[in-house]
Amino acid sequence: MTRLYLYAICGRDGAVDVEVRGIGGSRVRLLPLGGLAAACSPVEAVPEPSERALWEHEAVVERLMESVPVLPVRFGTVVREDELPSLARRADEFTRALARVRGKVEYAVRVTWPDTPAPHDSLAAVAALHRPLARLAADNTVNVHRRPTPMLEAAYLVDREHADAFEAEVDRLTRDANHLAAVCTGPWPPYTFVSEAA
Amino acid sequence: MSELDTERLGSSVTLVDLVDRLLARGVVVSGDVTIAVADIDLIQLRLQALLSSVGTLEARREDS
Repeated sequence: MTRLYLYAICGRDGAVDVEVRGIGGSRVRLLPLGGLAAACSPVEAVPEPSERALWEHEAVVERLMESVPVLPVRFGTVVREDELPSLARRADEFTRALARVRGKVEYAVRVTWPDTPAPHDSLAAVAALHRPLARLAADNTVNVHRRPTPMLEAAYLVDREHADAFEAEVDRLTRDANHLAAVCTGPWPPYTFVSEAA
Repeated sequence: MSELDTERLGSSVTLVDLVDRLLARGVVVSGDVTIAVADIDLIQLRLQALLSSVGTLEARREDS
């Protein structure tokens, strides 16, 4: 039985260019999945999470999302071909999740600040950085870690049409951020926002 | 801080975010997802690289 490496669940409302090579140079196919499509390629075994393999997975998802809405699947997911019908039973859930991320991309922002001398001022500055970005985003998630160093990790779900404005706002805010150190990466596929939950 | 260092910072942060997204987020299909202990080590390694890089970035801003 063929084992399939799974990259993404895709909507079918667009012409899809699957002339893209996946893990280990394998050919990516779109298999029907209850009105949606599963982007996958045949593999012998679960791939090791090498830097190269991670980028191969990412490249496939990025190519797909140029033409269709995608739900990126977690790295290292391998299914047997005969398991696809049972996965198709989740099609309604996937369809709702696709509606949530359709036309949107994700940005990651990390902010660190010194633990001393005035942590409360730093938290206020972090909030001042987050709020304008949240306003430009359809959704966001925020986590704050105290150890090993104070850090805010945020993800923003941004409409493609607002991506330039979001990036410009990030540049402006990080320039004005004084003693905060902030870094932003993206646009990413919406890995953080793939569940239907709001 | 040289231009090369800025590029290294950018690529190391990007790699941390890549690892974080692909290994810890995304749609979970029950059953055959295999996440080895080694993956967690990879994340820790990259996070440490990130933190040291951010320290460098702060230093650069204070200098300028």
